[in-house]
Amino acid sequence: MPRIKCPFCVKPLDPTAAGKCPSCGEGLPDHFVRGCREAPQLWMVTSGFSSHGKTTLLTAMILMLENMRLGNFYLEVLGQPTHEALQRMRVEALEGKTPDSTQPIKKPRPLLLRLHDAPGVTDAARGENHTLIALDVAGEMFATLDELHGVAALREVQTVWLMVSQPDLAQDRGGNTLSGLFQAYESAMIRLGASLEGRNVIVVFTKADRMNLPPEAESYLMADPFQDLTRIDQDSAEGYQEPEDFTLAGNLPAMERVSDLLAEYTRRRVPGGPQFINMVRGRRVNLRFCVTSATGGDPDQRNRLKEQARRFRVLDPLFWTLWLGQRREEKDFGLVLDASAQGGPVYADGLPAAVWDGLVERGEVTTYYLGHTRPVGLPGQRPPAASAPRARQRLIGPILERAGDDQRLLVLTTGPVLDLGDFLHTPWRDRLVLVTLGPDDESWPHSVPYRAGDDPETMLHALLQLTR
Amino acid sequence: MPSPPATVDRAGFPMTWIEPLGAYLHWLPVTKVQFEYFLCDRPSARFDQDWYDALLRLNRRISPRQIDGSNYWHALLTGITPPEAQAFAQWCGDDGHGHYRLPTAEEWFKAYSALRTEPPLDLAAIEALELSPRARLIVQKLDAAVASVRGEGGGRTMADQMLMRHGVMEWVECKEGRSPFGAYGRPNKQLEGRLINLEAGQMSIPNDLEQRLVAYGFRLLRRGE
Repeated sequence: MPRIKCPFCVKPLDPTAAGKCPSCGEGLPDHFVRGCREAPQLWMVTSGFSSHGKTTLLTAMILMLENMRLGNFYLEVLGQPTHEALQRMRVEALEGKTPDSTQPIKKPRPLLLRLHDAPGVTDAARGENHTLIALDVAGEMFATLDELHGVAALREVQTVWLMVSQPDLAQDRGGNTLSGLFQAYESAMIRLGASLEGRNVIVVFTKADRMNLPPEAESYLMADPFQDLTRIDQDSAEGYQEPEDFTLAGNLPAMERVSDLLAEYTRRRVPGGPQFINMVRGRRVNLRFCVTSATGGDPDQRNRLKEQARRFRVLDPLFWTLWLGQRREEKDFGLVLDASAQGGPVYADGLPAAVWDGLVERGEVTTYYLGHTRPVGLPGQRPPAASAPRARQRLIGPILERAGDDQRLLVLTTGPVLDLGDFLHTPWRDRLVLVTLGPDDESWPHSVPYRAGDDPETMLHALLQLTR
Repeated sequence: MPSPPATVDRAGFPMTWIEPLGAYLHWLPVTKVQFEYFLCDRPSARFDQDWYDALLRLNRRISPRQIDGSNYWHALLTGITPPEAQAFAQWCGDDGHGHYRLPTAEEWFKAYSALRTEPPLDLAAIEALELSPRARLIVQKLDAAVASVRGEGGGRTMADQMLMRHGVMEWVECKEGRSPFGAYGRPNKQLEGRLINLEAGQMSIPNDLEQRLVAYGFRLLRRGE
């Protein structure tokens, strides 16, 4: 199971963490960690340009989830800050106000929600639980590429929503493009040391009521079985009727068909559309499209929406996220430390801890001593600050032969590892980085010399290159 | 003729059934790679870095891939004393699969006498075992390396294949005589040149059992499961 992480600083949480995150000090909702074991974390970031409707859509989605009547589904709000944010959204919706454009905040505060018995992916007959961590990122943060890297949660997000109003984009005078939006995301991921490959990008067209959609897409939009969820119940025949046999799998063919239609629409009608599609697919990112209308129509001159707003396909981005959101395999790292009589420099200046801190943000880390098959402590436990009590031979073979097939190793040593050459012509050649604090070992292809004061990120970067 | 049964020891290295002994015997003298599993699994003050460094100064280590006819003895563990070999035997048996020990002098020579007239075994029987990649490579490389060494008296035998000749001097337990341990074998002359009438059962009995001897290694016998 992937490690449970703080929703604010994204640092891994100890299984017994409660009250506050030990890394950033932010208050955690009650029983957050325990709840996440049963409802795995699902990270979501809404990205897009100013006034393209991101926050409106997010507001509408949460309001619909609050009113959702589908099987045993219910939405749980985690923590007082999220509760207060939803209260503000609810009032704004009732008063028919469009939420203010998201204020640019260096580190936006996530909404923490738990979906109970959401439509199942692996088993249509069974609901699934998710802990939704939803970040709405200010549009202004995308104006310059450098600001975006402040959103560390991006690294956790397997599926990112690029939310675009095609009419607004067509009239944009600021030079903003879909490709630019994607590149802002890509730039942030590179800074965070995360690979794009295998992730999912969903282009969410907002304000569908202002688009000239292909007829089939428009029909799909209007046929949303959940469109009346936030309308007040009436005795009339109108109003929400719980769909009898809604399943994600059953809805998927239609979603895929509309995605294809919108991809073609993007190629023909969106400035820079073909380049965007080619760019994303060239990065081996899964690309899907959907179209939404969070308000059913424009606000009037007094900024009031229709009182009983129909909302169309607002849940589709979430459905895509659930469907495509295969749990990202937690990367498995090994940190192997020199425990020989000459290995002292490895432990100077807290180097193992610094390296461990960098690795643990990217996956689970198990620490070993060279010459000792068994790990030094449990996976996820901090590395020792000193060498083993008895000097050990620099041997790594028994460690490698027990390591997992996907494990990547970083070896810190002051001298040659006696048996590393045994693995030169094995897959370990491209799964192990040798960091030498002494004479450089040129016999190993992925060897990084380290000198006192060097930035540990260099060796981490070398290792992360192997995980691509 | 069907191949004799074979199995693996705790380190994943092959042992073959020797019918005259009613027991399994290591296919090869214990190798450095094999012994390193013991070193890494059971770190102790006795077998620490200095200990292994001393052995490697006597007989350097080579990677399995480097093994050939001109250097193969470097893959074998030598310089070890009988009590240290017994510690490895104890570790092998600790996982509950049989009792391991040094063969007695009688057992070793009995096995040798039987195997020196047997034709080489088809390696497929050994390779069919669940060997680690390194163990498999060592078996293959040593077999090829020893095949390049001139056979005695008309060709290669199973005793040659198992490196009972052209290998190392192998520690054995002595039930009689003044020394508890002796050694059988005929090492490759480049490891140590000596004249030994192995066919007549000549055994070597070093004066100082504590001394690290460059040509002295061992293999183990296993009884039971």
